[in-house]
Order: sequence, then C-alpha cells, then structure tokens
Amino acid sequence: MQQPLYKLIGDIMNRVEKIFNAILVVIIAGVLLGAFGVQVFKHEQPCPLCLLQRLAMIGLAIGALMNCKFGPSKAHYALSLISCIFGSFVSMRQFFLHVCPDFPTFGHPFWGLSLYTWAFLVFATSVAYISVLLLVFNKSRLDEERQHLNWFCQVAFAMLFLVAAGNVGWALYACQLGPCQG
Amino acid sequence: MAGLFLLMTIVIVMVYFRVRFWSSILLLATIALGWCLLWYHATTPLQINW
Repeated sequence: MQQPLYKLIGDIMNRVEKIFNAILVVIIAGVLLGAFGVQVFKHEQPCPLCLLQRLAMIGLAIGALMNCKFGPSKAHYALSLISCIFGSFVSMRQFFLHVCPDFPTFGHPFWGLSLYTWAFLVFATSVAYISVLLLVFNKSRLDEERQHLNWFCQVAFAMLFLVAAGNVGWALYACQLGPCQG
Repeated sequence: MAGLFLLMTIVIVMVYFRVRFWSSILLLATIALGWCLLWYHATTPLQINW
C-alpha cells in the first residue's frame, strides 16, 4: 500500500532531524575527547569547574541522543537546553574568576582563548543550534514502535558512552569519591 | 564528582535500553546535583585551586 505524502515527508524530516542531533552528539564528544587530550598530552589536570562543564556537555549530548533513540521531541531539546544553561553558568563563573588583570588564567590558552571560554562558546553555539532545529523541525515525532538506530547514531552513542565512562574512571582515580577540590 | 559522571553514564545506558521517563528524571537530578556542587565550590571557605 502506498504511503500518504504527508507521512512520507514526516518520515524524511524525522530522519534528517535525527542526523542533525547525531552530529551535535559527535561534535560534543569530540570536544570532550579534545579536553581529554589536553589532560593527557599536556599534563593539565582539570579543575572542579572544568569537570562540571564536562558534566553539562554530557547532559547536553544526552538530550540529543534521546532525540536519536526515541524520536525528536521538544522535551528532549528542553533537557539539552537546561544542561546548556547550567554549563554556561559554570563557565561564566570561571571566566569571571579569572577576568581580573593580575589574576592568571587557568591552563594554557588554545587558539588565544582559555578552555573555559571555549566551553562557554560551545554552550552558546549549542543553544543557537538547538533553537534553529526547533524552528525548522517544529513537530514532535516520537517513535511509536522500536526502531534500530542507524550507524551514525550508534557511533554517537558509543563515543559519548566512552567519554562519560572515561571521566568516571579518571575522577575515581584523581578524586576518589570526593568533590575534586583541585 | 565521580558519582555525577557515573550517574550520567547510567543515564546513557538507560537511554540505550529505552527507559525514557526515568532517564529524563535522572538527568535532571544529576544537573541539580551539579548546581549543588557549584554552590558548594562558590561558598566553601576551603582554599580551592580553580
């Protein structure tokens, strides 16, 4: 039986939106891997606020992952935006701590900006990205039956899981169960 | 801090196994705990290397 045109267009929009969400997850996982690279290769241990920024980035990516897994929904975007707000507060707090002229920045700058400034830019850009997605794809389309993830979403899932698990291992090693007081 | 990352990892696993409602609740709870930790670091009299 032939599908009605509106349903076909809806399916295509659904897939395209999932791909855009998977791209966001891969980018965030890449940023987190870059932070790991700085930590391992430049021997710069992350501060407590840096770890909170990583936590917010993982939360942001989880909202996008939920869009890939359950189908796009405004509730999932809201979870990402809440994480973005939290992460922006943390990075702005760290930025303001180091903004005084005689106060040194934390860690080596990357392309002229500190990592916490880059983190703020990531959160601000993510808010803009999610806003555009909400503007273009403005209907929730939750998957009613089980669907297999496409390979790109599976890669995004695996990358984010590995980064999150890596952070668990590192935090246990460096701070045990404490709050990482630097 | 390790506990917060562990909670996030659990949320990712829950999403993978299609537990939508409780993964959302756990994600919000983790973010709330993150706010608490931010508050702790902002108000503690301990000398913290930021």
